[in-house]
Amino acid sequence: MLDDSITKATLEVFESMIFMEVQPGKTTAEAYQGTDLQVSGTIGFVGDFNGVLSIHCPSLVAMDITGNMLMSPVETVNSDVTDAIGEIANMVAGGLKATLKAEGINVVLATPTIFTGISLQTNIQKGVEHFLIPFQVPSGMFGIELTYQ
Amino acid sequence: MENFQQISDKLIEATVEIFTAMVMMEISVNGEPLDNIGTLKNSISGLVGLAGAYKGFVAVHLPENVAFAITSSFLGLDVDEINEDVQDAVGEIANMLGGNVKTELSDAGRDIALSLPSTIYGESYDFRPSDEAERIIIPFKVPGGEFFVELELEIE
Repeated sequence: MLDDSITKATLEVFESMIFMEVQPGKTTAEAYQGTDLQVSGTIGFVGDFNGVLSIHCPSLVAMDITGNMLMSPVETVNSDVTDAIGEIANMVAGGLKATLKAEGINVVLATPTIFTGISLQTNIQKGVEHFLIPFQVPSGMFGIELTYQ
Repeated sequence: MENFQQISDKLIEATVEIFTAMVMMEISVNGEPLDNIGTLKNSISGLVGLAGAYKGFVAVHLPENVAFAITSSFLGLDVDEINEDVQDAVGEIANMLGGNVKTELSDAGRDIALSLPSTIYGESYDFRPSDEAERIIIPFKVPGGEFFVELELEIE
């Protein structure tokens, strides 16, 4: 249920805001494998259901997404890129929030934060559920990860 | 909002208390608060989100060697790589700091909740909040080196 609603929210965001073709892959329990330079946006949500949603993009993918979103090419990982990735995390989490609400599960969102760096790793903590959904776009793959209790 | 400066002061107190009582490590504030910390090298960050009447997060940014020293002292384990124990220790410190900020804010009768702690680490990374909001970064010094505690808050 959770991965379906995250996939749905992601497809909606890409269709309506980014105008980019995106193909979801198979949900996995693996951690995201960091790339040379990547941009990660992460947002916590709290309430009847607690978790953290993250989007991890190789820098090329992050720049492509931002370029499409702003309708002007982006050549470096600048603040437009970090803003865009934070905003996508926020919108996908918003979509998940809406799905949960329809099920009678209420959550509130924290603020998105963005990490830009080389070979970043996020943790999978003990006693916490986790999955990763890979997505294919023309310039490569990105991943959306959910950890929750 | 209760004065942001007051909350920052409480965060300093809370950090000192957590390190003294839980981590069992000497700690002191290492200079004036910062607006930015630039690129973190070979570091690990622990993060906990705040949601509800206030939105924001509390983060702790630790160079690896400081994270190892803290984990050893906190959990009584010798570590020399970023493993689950280090991630758990760093996540737990972020969680305790977040809990303290939450208590401070709730004293004013506000409804606020903490998200699950998460950690992120890498050779070289930049960290930044996405929104314009009140932000403060406090440098601390422990025997193993320097680290930072960061708070960002916006009002919904």
